[in-house]
Amino acid sequence: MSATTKKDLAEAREVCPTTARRLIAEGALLVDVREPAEVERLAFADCEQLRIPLSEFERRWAEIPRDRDVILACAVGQRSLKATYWLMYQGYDRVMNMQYGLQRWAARGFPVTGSGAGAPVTAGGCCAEAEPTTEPSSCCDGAKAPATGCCG
Amino acid sequence: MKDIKVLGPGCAKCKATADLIAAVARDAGADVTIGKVEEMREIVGYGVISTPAVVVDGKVVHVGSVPTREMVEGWLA
Repeated sequence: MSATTKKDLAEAREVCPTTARRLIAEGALLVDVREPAEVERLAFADCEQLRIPLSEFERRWAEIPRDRDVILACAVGQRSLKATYWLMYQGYDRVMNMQYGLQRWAARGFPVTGSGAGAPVTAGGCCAEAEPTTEPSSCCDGAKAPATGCCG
Repeated sequence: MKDIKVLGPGCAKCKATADLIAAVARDAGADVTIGKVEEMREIVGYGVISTPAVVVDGKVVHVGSVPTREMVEGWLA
């Protein structure tokens, strides 16, 4: 096992889907870390994106550019938070996590594609974590306020 | 004394890893402290994305699965 350096990572920057959508329109890159079967059922649409499943993330993270804003997303925002911290560990400083993930994105009526469009989004893949406790209809009402203006 | 940390979100495999290390240490009479790191930010701060992982005296020695008894014995030797 190669030696690793312990780093004290700062709290990750998080944005709600509404803010994420605006940032993507302004040039941020979306990185979907869900597994292929999940993406096949339902996926983000109408935005530039990279798909790197968390199960491949250690091998493929270097595909993600360092010179632009990057928004990590998954089903509910837990796996993508891990991916966000991983990129921060690797020295990325323009990364942020999409709170509540595709579930909230779809609930807000933002573009999606796939055979499951219109069906509820569930956290899938390995190590899926608890879904958010907040109502899908209320944006940015989580415990952590996003670092940027929400719903702007 | 060896300082051992098990990194993981508190899943069954993480518990199995900690229990195995404790059992092997007890059988070997090894002087160890075993801690758990369950907070995601701190886990990834070790450069770990796959859990459970094991850190011995500050060095990550294993990631992504429950280690074997032989591996644990090697860490405690």
